[in-house]
Amino acid sequence: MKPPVKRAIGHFRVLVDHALRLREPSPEHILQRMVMPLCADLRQVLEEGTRNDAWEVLEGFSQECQRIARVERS
Amino acid sequence: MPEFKETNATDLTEIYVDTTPGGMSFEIPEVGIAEFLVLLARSLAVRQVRLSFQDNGRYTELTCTTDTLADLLRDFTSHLADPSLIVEFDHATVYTGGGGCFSLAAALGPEEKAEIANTVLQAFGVTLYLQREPFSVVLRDGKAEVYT
Repeated sequence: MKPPVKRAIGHFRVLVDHALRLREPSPEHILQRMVMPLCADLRQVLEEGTRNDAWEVLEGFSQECQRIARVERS
Repeated sequence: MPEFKETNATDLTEIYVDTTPGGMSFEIPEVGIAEFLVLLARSLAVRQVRLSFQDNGRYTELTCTTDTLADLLRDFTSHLADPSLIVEFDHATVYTGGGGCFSLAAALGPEEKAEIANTVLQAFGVTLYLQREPFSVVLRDGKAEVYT
């Protein structure tokens, strides 16, 4: 897995983790520590990556979504 | 309602330790990131550590053992708060949004998560004995707020 792909999935994971916290993080924290890094990753994948890289990002995001689904069911 | 406990912690900004499905998440002061990563490597009993980050647009990857991790981190302090940093242990990965905001992806049991949390908190001068998950601990102004 290429570094920008791995980072994009990782930053999405950080975002998901914050959504599951028992207390709410500040909007600034969400923006600076999750959304902006994720936007940079996605930009890099679109500008320098392949279609397969983009697909891997989506697969990684989907795996994180399944993690949330497991929490919702329990 | 959170439970408040007095601690002997000094000079703490805010520290957060949370359990998550499939891992844990942390907010660590930037000055404590290197110590935190070494503690994590020791707690997870890993043999090999791989760090990767972007340096002026160039992708850099470094590997070391847990024993040499502290020395390696000293040479790359400026990258530890960078959102491009990824730390890969044998069976765990640490992602970061930068500035000490970390997510640990690892298959850990409740006891292991509690042990890691206790180890990290102890390093910052706070002694708690967490035993079950989910839990969330906030250290703020020398006080620990524990949510379970």
